[in-house]
Amino acid sequence: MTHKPHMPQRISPAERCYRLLLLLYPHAFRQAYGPEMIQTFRDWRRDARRHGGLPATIKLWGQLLADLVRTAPIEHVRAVAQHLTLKEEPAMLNTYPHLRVASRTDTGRLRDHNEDCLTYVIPDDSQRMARKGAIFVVADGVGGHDRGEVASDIVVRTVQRAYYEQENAEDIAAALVRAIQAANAEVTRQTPPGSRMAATCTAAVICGDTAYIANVGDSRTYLLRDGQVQQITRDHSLVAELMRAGVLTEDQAQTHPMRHFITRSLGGGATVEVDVFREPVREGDVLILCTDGLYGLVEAEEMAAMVAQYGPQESAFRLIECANERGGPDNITAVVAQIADVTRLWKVTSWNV
Amino acid sequence: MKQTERAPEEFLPLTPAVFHILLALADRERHGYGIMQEIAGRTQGTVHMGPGTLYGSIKRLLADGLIAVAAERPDPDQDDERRRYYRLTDFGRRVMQAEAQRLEQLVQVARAKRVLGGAAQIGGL
Repeated sequence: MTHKPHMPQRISPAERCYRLLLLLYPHAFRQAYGPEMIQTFRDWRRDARRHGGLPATIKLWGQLLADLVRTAPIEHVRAVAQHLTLKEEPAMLNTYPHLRVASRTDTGRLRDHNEDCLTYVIPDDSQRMARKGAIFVVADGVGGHDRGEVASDIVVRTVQRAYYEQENAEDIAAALVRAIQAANAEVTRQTPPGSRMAATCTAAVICGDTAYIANVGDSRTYLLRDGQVQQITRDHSLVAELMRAGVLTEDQAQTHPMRHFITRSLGGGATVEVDVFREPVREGDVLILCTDGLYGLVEAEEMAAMVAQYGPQESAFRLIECANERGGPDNITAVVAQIADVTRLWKVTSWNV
Repeated sequence: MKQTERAPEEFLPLTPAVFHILLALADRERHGYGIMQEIAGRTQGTVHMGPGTLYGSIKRLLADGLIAVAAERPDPDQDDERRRYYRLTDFGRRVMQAEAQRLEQLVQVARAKRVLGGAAQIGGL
């Protein structure tokens, strides 16, 4: 192992030659991977010279050229194809939040049915995205004879449909509340006479640099920023009310026999009171929408650490797996939505051919 | 209207290059040249992946979330240059497992039809 700190590296003729050959690749590809490919070439060539002498070096150039003529045209074709399909993307990145979203719902280990439901909509139409934003909805159904499943399904479908149907509503928070009230009316309407079904709901709209977050019942939305986690929604449950009244401590609430008893739900009657919160958001922020099957077993701080380490895609899996490993007594649902920090996605070191 | 993640099966069959890269990352994170070395070593040099194939595949694997950038740090076995290390995501591992199962099923068919020798012959290798 040789140390060459702060020494300007001399570029060998072979490397200079390889740098020229790299010009055959599309510009964006070179920008992203050029430095790594040169580094790889250097390692490869050094090993070939060290272990195989001239024959190995000649073989290396043969393999290198074969690889080059095969892959450079492919990258050009892909670059053109991407240009054709993603022409709008750069504009969207600048004007609207670029969202990275992952979601997952799971029956858990003990239940037969999954009464949780989720949906999200990120409008393709950039005008609509600018005006109405993207919506995320999670619902947890209650009721016997599979009715919990029906109720949560009605809620997520109605909330997203009713939200975007209010095309000209200026006030996003009010539109979101009305959409959730519409879901309440729809669940009530579809409940068979003499029976009961209901669902909780938490929903978030990300529009511009603001998140509008609403809830009814005990499904939650958290906001993660700079490694800190904040619960935005306030549960409408017996234990949460008792905690707010100072009767129960947090630890007592977590093990209370009536911790699943909710004091507000969708489908319980003609009207419902919906809480709505408005939070400024910025790049890098993450919203987690989840049901009690997740937060009952995985602490908010654990969720934050997982998302920070693994990003939305993988942490959505890990969150569910974590709750299952701890018993998975209830259905588990999580939506992880990150306002992507585009500047941090790919830092390219400057290099010249 | 439940929306779930993409199924690993949607990515099958994998190209040989992609499968080799995922296998190279199965046990630990590696940088680009480390992946090349692992593949060449494991196949006794019969499979040699050039940088174009390697980084073209890495680009698409990153975009699909099958691998992720683990860190940038020097490799003690090489020199003091910083290198970008890649690692398998959980989803990538699932895709790799699905591909391995798919191939195993094919091999079972080949065995049943006596295209491949039986277990005795494998034992003799």
